[in-house]
Amino acid sequence: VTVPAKRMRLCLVGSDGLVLRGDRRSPDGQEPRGEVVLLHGAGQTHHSWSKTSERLAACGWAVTAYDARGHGDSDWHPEGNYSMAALAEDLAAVIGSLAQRPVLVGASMGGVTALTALQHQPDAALGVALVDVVIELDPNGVERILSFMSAHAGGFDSLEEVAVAIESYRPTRARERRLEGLRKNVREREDGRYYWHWDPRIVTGPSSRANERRSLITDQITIPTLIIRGRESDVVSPEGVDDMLRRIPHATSVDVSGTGHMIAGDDNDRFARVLTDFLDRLAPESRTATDGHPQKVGTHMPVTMTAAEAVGTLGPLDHVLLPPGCSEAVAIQRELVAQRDRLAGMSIASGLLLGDYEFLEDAKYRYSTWHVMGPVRDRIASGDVSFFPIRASSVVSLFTDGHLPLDVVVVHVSSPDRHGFCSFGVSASYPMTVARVAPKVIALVNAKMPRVFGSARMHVSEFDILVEVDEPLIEYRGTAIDDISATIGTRLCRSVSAAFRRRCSSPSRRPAVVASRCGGWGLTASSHSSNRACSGPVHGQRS
Amino acid sequence: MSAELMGSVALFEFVADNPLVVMEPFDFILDPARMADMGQMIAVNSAVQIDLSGQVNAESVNGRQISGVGGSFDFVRGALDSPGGRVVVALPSEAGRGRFSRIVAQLDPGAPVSIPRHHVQTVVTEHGIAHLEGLSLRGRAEALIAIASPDFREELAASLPYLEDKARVTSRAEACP
Repeated sequence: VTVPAKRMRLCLVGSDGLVLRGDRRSPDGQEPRGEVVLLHGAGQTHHSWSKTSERLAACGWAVTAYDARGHGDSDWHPEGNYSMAALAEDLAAVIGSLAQRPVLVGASMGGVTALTALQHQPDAALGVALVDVVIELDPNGVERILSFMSAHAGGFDSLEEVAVAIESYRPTRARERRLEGLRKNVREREDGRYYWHWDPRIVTGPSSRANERRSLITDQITIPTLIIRGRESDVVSPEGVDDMLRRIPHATSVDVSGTGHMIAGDDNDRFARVLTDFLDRLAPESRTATDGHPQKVGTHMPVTMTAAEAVGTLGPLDHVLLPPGCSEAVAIQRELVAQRDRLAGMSIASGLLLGDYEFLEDAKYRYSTWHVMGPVRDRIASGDVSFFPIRASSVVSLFTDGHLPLDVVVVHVSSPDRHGFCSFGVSASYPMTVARVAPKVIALVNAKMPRVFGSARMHVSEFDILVEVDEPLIEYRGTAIDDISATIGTRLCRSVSAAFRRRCSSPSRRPAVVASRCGGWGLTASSHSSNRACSGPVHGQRS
Repeated sequence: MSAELMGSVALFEFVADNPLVVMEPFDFILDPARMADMGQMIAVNSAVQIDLSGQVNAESVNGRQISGVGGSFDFVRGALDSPGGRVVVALPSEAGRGRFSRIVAQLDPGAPVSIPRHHVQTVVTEHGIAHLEGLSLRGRAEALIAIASPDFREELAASLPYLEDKARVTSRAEACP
């Protein structure tokens, strides 16, 4: 639920009497859900959080973001004391000015600041999110930051030169076109030249700060801790995250795909999604149910779109999981075909599909599967499609254990019931379990999907995008049961019941016959009656 | 109870709001401990081909992947652990309109073993049922040849040197249930 937010300039006094400047956003006209303090990285300012703080305030949080000492609009320390201890004392002073314990969100140096403050006062915060920072950083990535920060000590002639310098550090991002926006990063001095906004002495003291970081003691940290890593980060490696998870065993970690060290700047949508999930768990918004309408919970209010618009939210870097079998998301796949030029390079995964796999034509998409149907056989043989020789029970862990990257899960569900729950109908296998851990869920809500008993259902508030359709499900057209299959079925049933009579001491226990699909032969238990199920549980169709 | 249902509109209408049908995710349906608890768990899987020792290829034809292993092995595992349970492989004896036997001396080159021979307990074709438990390699081959298509029995028997006693193989086929 989006709430109107108000913004005010902030002026705080840090530990040595230094003035720290920044801003504070909070929901207008209502009590905030809680406090959040955003801590930027070395060489950044509180402006690096502007989109994030706008979003969090719109979700009902009071958000404080300030420039660290020696950065942006905050004072420079007269003796150049930029130790982690000093930065942490500033943070403690800021926390002390808040009405309640905040959640700390620290990027890079800001994350180390938060950990340093928590070392002295473990209960100073409700939770902490470390944004692309751990204790054991990759020295090469750190060196890149420091050399970027120490270059151009003599200043720049123009804002254009500033833009070029920033681009050289982040070559994958387009050069800043709005040069005026760069004024936040530099100071124009009396000589007419532009200088970085930070105190150059910050760069000269980093080795002692690194020592402070490595000697951090995290044993006392018991508050919820989230490590958010940019998947392309050159500063935090997966090993660095593992080390951190050993130090703080209750911590959890998330990789954000398509982002480097500057996660919030590289993809603020994904970053905000991960962060708001974390915040929601710390302070769930009160749920308000309105009669006859789905519950809308926190930041998870789904947006209703057309299939074209929903697919329009995807990008070429995304990894998308599609639902299988009779829950094939026909309307979404139609749009994947229509938008394949724009989305070229995007990765798709799914179980078996009953349609014609039209999205594979022109080889625009990368496709992975663990089940093979006619149209993909040639492509697996040629290596164009990745085949995973795994059991059905391993499909979910392919995504939940991070073996395959995952950005979006498409689910195909029934219309919501009066409580807002959508049934997965004929397909409970993997889509729901994976959707529960996915950064983004697109729900194809189909009036034709039957509502079925069992636990396979999700609430609309767990979806991000709803695409409402009323379209027939794709059907599985098996061939009729031939004489051979009928004979096999009869023999099998006779044998099973004979074995049952021989072995079973308790006549009330009936044998369970389970048929599964494999080998290109469909073994389909009859759905009509138990008698039929026993007279012919096995009929085969070449698929 | 199932994780995935495939069929026609008649099936979709049958399962809608039907308390006889329960749909659960893979982690529930394929949990071997749950299957073992049920008891009498009989897992029926089909196959592309099965060799004379009982190795099952359910995924490939001529080395070409035509399917995945799917949930088949998960059910095999559950059935093995289930008291009174049984691992059944059911397949027609022939393929390609009678041109090929699905019971073969050796699997296709490059064919994966989808179910290992020590997990296969019962094999069913339109010609009969072979119970492989307690049988030696020779016994397995004889039992499987007995349920192969009569057109291929001789060829199969000739493929293994220790199956020279053709009369014995044939008499066994006649005695088949």
